[in-house]
Amino acid sequence: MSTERQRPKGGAGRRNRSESEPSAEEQQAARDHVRIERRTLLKQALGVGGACAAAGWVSLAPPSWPLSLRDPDGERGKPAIPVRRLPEGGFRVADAPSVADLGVAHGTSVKEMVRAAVAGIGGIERFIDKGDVVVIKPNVAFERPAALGATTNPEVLVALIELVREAGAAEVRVADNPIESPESCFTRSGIRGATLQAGARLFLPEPSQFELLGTEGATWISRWPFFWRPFDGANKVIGVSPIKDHNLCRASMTTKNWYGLLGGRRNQFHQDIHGIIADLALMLRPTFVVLDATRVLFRSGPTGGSLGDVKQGNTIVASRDSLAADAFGWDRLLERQGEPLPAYFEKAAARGLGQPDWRKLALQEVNVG
Amino acid sequence: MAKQGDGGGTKGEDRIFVRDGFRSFRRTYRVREVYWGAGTGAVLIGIVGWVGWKGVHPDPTLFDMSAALSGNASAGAPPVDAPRRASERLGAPRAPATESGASAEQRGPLPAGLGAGAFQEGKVGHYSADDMYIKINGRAGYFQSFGARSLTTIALEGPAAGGAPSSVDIELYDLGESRNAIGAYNGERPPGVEATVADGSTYHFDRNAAFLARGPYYARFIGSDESAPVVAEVRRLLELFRREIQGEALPWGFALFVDALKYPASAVTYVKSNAFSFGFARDVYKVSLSPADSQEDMEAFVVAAADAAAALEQAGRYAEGFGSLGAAAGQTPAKVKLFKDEYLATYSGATAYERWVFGVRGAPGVSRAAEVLEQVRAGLAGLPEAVRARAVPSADLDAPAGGDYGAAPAPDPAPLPASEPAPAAGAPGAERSSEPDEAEATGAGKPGEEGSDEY
Repeated sequence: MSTERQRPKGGAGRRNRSESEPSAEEQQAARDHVRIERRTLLKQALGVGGACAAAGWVSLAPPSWPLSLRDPDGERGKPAIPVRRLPEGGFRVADAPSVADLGVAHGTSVKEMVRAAVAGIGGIERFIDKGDVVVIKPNVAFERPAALGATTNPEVLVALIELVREAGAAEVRVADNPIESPESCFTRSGIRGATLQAGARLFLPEPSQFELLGTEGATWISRWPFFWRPFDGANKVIGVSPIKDHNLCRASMTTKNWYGLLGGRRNQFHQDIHGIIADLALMLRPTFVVLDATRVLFRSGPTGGSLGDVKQGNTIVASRDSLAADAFGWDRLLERQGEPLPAYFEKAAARGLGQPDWRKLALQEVNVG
Repeated sequence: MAKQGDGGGTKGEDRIFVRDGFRSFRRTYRVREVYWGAGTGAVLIGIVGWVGWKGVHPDPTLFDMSAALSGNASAGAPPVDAPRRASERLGAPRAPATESGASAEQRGPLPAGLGAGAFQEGKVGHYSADDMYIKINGRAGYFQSFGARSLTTIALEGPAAGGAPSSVDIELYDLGESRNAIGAYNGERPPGVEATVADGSTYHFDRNAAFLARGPYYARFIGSDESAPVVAEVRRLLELFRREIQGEALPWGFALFVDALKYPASAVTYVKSNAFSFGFARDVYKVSLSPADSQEDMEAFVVAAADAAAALEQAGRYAEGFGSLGAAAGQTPAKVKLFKDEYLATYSGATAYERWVFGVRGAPGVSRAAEVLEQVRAGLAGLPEAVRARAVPSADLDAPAGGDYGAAPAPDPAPLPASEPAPAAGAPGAERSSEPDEAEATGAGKPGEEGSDEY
């Protein structure tokens, strides 16, 4: 059906037509035509009006209203990036009230110390089941030989990997994200060789291996790029960190160690170093942590450089509570007992993430070979 | 249906969509028109597909919150090396700035021909003040507080020893002025470690490593171990840098404390900011006066002001600062007000002489405080004219740390030729190995003690 009228061709024709009387058929046809056109007009007006109203609704209605597509700040137009989340409650295992909270081993044999410290908190079988996929996070932050104390002792890492594998882990993954050249850091620190020697799988950071991680309740990293790939499919996480002086947060130990899993321009977090460390404690609740105090970088941290800044600690600490392990390290290994703990302890403890007063916890301390 | 050469509007064709009216229509189209239509349609479909693909593969930088979190993350000078790729913002790891075979520009102030014998030059890295955290994450703020301008690094790789490769890493910090270099050096020098001051260089060895302040540079030579070849290489590199890097006369504060007052050079240090934990206390030279094995922490200090009025005003602020830590405790025979620390029970005070502020902090008694103040006053009064001319405020105090310092030359440096012979004994820059007991007495240079709010 058309809404267009037939136009007479030429002015002369129009005059001739108007002068002659229309026939009855023509008059009836004209009436029908008018009726049909009005109905069509009404229908079409209704359709157009409805379409305009609908368009107005979806485009102008407030974003919270149904069917609204309004996007005043452009945020709705962005595609949603999937936000990863670590397991609720972290990677912790069930409590065992009858065993110690802190396992401390002193000696000179690294292997024996690692085993004794873990045995002190219930043994590796308490934490690792057959078939587990375990991530071990050492500190490989700097391109320094391990003897300078700025990175995890490779011998400790080897002993830990062997222990985990003996417990039946299906796969052991070693990962860190040094801000400097990762390959050089892993190689010169000896961590690369140790990982491969012990039969674990090494994850060097690549941009494609980072995902946005959501951490509910975190101040700075509620959504932040995270070295996700090693954690994909993992069900246990162990941190193994050296004990170091740190000129910003005063001491870098197992809690600060998780910093190495962050991507992005994480150096800006140094502006609130204690806040970010408290966030890290919230972000990752490990299966347990190992404080590697075979060497202690007691000054000029976190980079160190001189062997004069390093003393032999000959100690390994294991705990499910990283704050307790760190507080023990502060008092007994960095020998700063009497000085107030760095502020991040209080911030993390206020969130219920650990017990900085390690004296309130059960301690098993042994001397081994 | 298309029909080759069949034009539109042929008489007798049935109208397809518009059965009346005057719209133009055609029932058939040329093949060429169909091709064009199909091509246009394909382009449109391609655009739609591209938009859809981009939608599910967004640019990660769109979601990079770091700039917002840092506030002024990249507000300063851009990094020296290539700009970051978008992926690096998410994934973080970055390659060193430059690799071996770097140009002279990339090597910056590094002397040529560092590799010798069994040790060969490895990769070179060059970092600005803004991105030196890549190399020394967690420590960058320390050097920025001393006005760091750049960091140049190089690794010298040696033969394997005991199954592990040996190496010496060199970190060369350009701190703009010799006083900054000495301040940073002393801040890292462990208590009790003696520094040697010779030919415009201040340095010491520490087992596997050596540390050198020379001119505006602070260099760290870090051996991988303390084996004989590594230590020998560290010593060789130290001597090479002392020879090849241009030195400067030591800052004027050394002329006062060392030449005039005869304190050991290693007891003297420079604090660029936040001295004594006073936010206003900047550009301070101080000398430690207490034996290392004592509980005392007594220091004398001096600050250059623009003129006598400014010196008086600053001295008042120091006095006010000391007063805030305790209570008034009389005055010296020279009418300098002293304040007794509420907790430490030590005496401190400050006053002005001409256009210099000077004072004492942590004296065990009023008489000792008065004695030290009188010594410093006498030293200032006897400064040679050449030193007085150099004893002016630092030119870069108002510049942002680690940022653009501008082109204003510092008043202090009096360049020495790289190979200039040692000055005569007693002259600035003459060799002065401090006495062991006094070196230990400094207390200066405790890492993290001073230099910024964080240290």
